[in-house]
Amino acid sequence: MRFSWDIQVSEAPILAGERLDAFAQAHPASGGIASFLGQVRNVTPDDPTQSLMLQSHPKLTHPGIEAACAATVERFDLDGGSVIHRTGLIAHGEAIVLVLCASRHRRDSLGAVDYLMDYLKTRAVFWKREDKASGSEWVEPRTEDYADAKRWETGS
Amino acid sequence: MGEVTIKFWGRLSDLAGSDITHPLAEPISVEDFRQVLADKYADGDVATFQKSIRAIINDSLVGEEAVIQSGDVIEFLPPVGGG
Repeated sequence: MRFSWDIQVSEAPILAGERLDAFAQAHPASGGIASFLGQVRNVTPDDPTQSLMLQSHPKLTHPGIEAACAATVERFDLDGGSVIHRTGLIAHGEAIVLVLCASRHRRDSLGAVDYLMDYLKTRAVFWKREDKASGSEWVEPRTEDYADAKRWETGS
Repeated sequence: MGEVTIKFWGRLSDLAGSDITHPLAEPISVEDFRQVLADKYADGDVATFQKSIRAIINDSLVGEEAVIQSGDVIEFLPPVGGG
């Protein structure tokens, strides 16, 4: 691998703008920087989401993301990459995850971000609890999430 | 009488907490232990501990036939997903 991934799993708020600026400046030779920012949204307007609680595993979560990043550079020609995932209590409107990838041409960085997000949504070792006014509920990946991730198995 | 440490993750942690000590009279398979847990924490509803919930013994992912011994740390992981 030509670079080391920046992988962070912590309760610290994600300052997406600052991180994107710093990442872009650190990769001046890359023609494309792709990003994905996931944030806490309202799924049901009648019963608004107040926060999410993300639980990680002390021994499995980080190594799993490392392995996914290693698989990513096998598929895409990247100059750099970063995965920042928040844990703990995350308020509505705050960022949950930020994925950044740099490449010479845009398709590699765009594809790499898409690939990594499919991993994070379906296989990364996190458990997610949604806290609403009516109560709390643990949320598991949707059928659509698994279908999205399966795209990479078939190569389509 | 021995004992094991059980770590429940995700929604299972709502049942009994995330880190508990459980008595173990004799070695038991993971498959049979699911029923023991269901009886104790879920009014016998074994679906609560269904096989989509992966089991880990002493940091290793194991199958249904794996045997739990006194002193083991066993973890139960519901389906995962972040983002």
